[in-house]
Amino acid sequence: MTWGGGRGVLAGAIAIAILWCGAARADGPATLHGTLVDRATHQPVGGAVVEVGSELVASDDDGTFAVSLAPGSYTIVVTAPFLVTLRQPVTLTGDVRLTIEVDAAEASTGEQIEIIDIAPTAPGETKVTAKLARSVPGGGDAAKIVQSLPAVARPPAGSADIVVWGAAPHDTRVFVDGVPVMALYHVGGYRAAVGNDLVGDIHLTPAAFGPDRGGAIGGVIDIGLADPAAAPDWRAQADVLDASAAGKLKLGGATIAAAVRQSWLDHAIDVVADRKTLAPNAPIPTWTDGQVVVRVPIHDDLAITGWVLGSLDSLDRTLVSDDPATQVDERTDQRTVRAQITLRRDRPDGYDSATVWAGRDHTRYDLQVGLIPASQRAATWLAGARGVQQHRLSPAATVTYGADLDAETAALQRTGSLTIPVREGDLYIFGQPPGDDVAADRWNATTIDAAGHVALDLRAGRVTATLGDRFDAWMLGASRLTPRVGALPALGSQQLDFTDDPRGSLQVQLTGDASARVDAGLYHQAREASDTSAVFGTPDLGVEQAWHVTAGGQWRHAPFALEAAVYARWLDDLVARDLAVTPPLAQALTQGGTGRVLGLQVTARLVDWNHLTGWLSYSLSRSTRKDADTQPERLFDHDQTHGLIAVAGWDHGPWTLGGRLRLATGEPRTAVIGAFFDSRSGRFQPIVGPHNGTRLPTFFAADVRGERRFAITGGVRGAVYLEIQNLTDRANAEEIIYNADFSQHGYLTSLPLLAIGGVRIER
Amino acid sequence: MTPRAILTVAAGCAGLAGYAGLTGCDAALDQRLAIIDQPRVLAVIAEPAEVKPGGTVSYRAVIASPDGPPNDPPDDPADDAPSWAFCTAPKPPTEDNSVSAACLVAKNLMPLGTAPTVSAALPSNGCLQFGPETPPGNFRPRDADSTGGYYQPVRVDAGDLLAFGLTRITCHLATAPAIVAHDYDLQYAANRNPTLDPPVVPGAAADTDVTLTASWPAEAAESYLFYDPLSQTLVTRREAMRLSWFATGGTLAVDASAVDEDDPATAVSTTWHTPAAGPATVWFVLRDSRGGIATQVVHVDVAP
Repeated sequence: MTWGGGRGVLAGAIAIAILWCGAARADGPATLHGTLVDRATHQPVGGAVVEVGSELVASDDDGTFAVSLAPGSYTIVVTAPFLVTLRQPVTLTGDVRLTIEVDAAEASTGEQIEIIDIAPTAPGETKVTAKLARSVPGGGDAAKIVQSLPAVARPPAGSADIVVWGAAPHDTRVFVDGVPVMALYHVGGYRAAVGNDLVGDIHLTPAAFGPDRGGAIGGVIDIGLADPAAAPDWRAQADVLDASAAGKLKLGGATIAAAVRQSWLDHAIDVVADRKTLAPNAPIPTWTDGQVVVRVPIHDDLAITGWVLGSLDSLDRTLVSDDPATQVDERTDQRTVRAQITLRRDRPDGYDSATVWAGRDHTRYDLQVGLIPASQRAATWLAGARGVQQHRLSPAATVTYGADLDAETAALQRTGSLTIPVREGDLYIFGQPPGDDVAADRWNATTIDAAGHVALDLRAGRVTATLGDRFDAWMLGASRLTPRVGALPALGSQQLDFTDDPRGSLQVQLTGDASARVDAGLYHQAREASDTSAVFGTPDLGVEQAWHVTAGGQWRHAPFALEAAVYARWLDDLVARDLAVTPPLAQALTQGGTGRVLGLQVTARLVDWNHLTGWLSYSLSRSTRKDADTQPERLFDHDQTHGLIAVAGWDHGPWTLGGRLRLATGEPRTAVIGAFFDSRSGRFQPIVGPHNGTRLPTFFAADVRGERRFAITGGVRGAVYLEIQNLTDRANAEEIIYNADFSQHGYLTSLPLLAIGGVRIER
Repeated sequence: MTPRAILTVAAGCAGLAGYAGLTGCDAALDQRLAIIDQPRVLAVIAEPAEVKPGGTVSYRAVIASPDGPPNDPPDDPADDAPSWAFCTAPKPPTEDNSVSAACLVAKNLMPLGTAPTVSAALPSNGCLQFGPETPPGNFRPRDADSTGGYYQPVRVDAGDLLAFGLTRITCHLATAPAIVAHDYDLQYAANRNPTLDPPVVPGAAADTDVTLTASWPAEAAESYLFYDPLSQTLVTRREAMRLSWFATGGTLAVDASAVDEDDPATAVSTTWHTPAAGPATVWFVLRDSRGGIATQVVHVDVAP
């Protein structure tokens, strides 16, 4: 893409439109001064978490709190383990003083307590607001916080993969307001594909999630878009990576917020360095994303929300070589769009919600190593619907039930070696050209998942139990059961599978501050459409399965929280390579893979203590796989034995400071123990040791971020920020590399000390 | 502040300085093979370059050392002669190497003898073991290389040197429509080794740049019939050529030079920065994309 190309012009036009729309609105900020009091005793309530729009604060000992926001309508959410969660609408115009009555948990209505940020509702579960997320090193991008959350393994540099508690990246599903999206991050992992300005909160459930979510045997990441009313009138931001603009507009009762972002990292790089020189170490992609969110209140308790998300990615890189046989040309293109409409009604005893959504994904990957070509293309239509109802049956019982429909149809084409793209479990030596035995196929795949789910929350004294079940009907199809031969008509594959996934949890409030909880469940996910080729895969693959069990204890004494959790996953029917010398026809993949993940995690959290919020988390994990019963157990490609992460954000007055420390065991790799000369290619080829028998060295990085805000004029605020990644300039190993005859090895290292500076203005 | 002004501020910010040092690759690892600093196999040449399974092929290895071709001419033909063996183990499609890891195990080898050159009949089941034919029971045919070829591996052990040659074997098309497969059988012409014109290395002084040129007859880059699995048709392609340069000293600008299949060029050049005065050897190894190989060696007296 060229900077002057159509996409850049379009992004600029949208940005200008947003700024213009935002400028039409010129109200100053409003401040809510609140006091929490017990409804029964009228005593102040301290230590409760109060969320208003994108702001999150804790009430002081005298029950008071204050938040400043743009004028508009918001919902105040008050949560604490000792309170019944309270939601109360408020309209802010200027300064507002409000006394809010809350109910102690002993008088619970049976509604599930939702504890934001400080004490997860399930072991390992974490929810953070966009405001906190942006204060943590990650380029100021809210969803980048996911890579810094407890339970998430340290991602390799330049990777958009998310490994949650030893689960493969594609086993963890990302939702935006309940709608599945193709990827959380843009290609290269620099930015979130779901945008930044309109993100409300980020919610990670690393395992044992409830029956309302399906299609994943790993974890679930929910990105909640913010109420558009909470967005600034307009905002523009630019740094070394990209530029973005956001704004909102009120049309009658409707509030419309929009944001757009365009990368310019490639051009910034060109100013100071040769892009081709950097290509082996740092992919230099281009990305564009845009979001439009509309919210229309129909009634006090009824609202329609709709949004459209779009994302474009491109990555071109050429790794030049002194030998044309090893020159690499690589091109990646991804385009995705999602749109949804949700109708939600809040009732005194629960809520009703209905969502319909649709989307289109287009991916293209082309690779040429010397004379060896490989490509994979997919064009996918997606659509779905989701309906949920919640009813409080009695003060001690609440039932939530719903139905999901996810459908996709994909047209795919692939050429090249069977081992491109690389799968988890492949014997992969970095830098080695792919196999030169190539094939080709063109096919279609259909995946439909219709599901119903129900969860019953019961409370009796100190015990809270959730009993749930999810029933899925999977219709899986592929256009060809055998490879194409001439004009012979295709014999397709259609199969209907049914899965029943019981899920539940049991929580005991041991003391006022301490609780213990166990969660368990069965999970299924469909095979990937790209695996259903009759040439490269197996058309009649079914669903993969996992059992999850988590157990943990929480101790909370505001503003501190301490959590310990142990977790286990047993994976079955995993799609894996058939390692046979001559696999059966149209069965290059099997479902004979199994896996096991065991681990523990200890996390200490702090929320709004002297304006400081953060966490310190240590995890110990072992994740293994077997590709077939006859194969030995091996380490999972992204297994990370030890992981330590400390994150802190301090926000006070005009300053926001953030820091992050990461220490992690290096990923497993397969060592090269010898080499032979291949006369046909004229290059050496490796003789390998045990699969994943060695590891990369330990990773360590310290990152800091600082932001200084200032008033400009007429309600316009500005900010400058500087982020320094890899503060110690440590050369962390990302891959093992070898010389031409594999007699020596070294490491491909991550980026050295890296500074990202930028500016933001908003109203 | 206009959006343009914001972009300007960002582009000029100190953050860019951080990108200036983005060089994390370990530069100490030599990715070059052009300078012969230890004994090395440069090529394993089969004659003819392509036969049907069961056909007879003669093999020779081109070995280089920092002192030039070892024992050239040999004092004793059996002295330091390489050992030869066919590998009988096919490669799983999940392995990226050109031959199976099982070819490193003696039980999967069929010895051919120890001599500078050997002749042997290829195993008659080559198209079953290494080609697209499958045993009874509906198995997946092996994939051809990007030129449609299948190869019988031959292992060479020369002292501490281990190398594999790959002899292209002519097999029927297994997954093509019958009429296409029939046409292929009738029209496909087996590959022949290319030939290299005798190279001339101009007289060179030490520590100077010399242009090396390798050329080959136009017919060395043969046209051949290729089955395109996506369109399920036969197409005529032309071999791509790749010339690898080797020298016992000095530096070479590149390891290899390539001519694509749609490029009619029949010569390539590179620059050799000569070593110190004394004898030197330069090798030229030409490979066509179907596995044919030709070599030339030139002895040079580098003048002071």
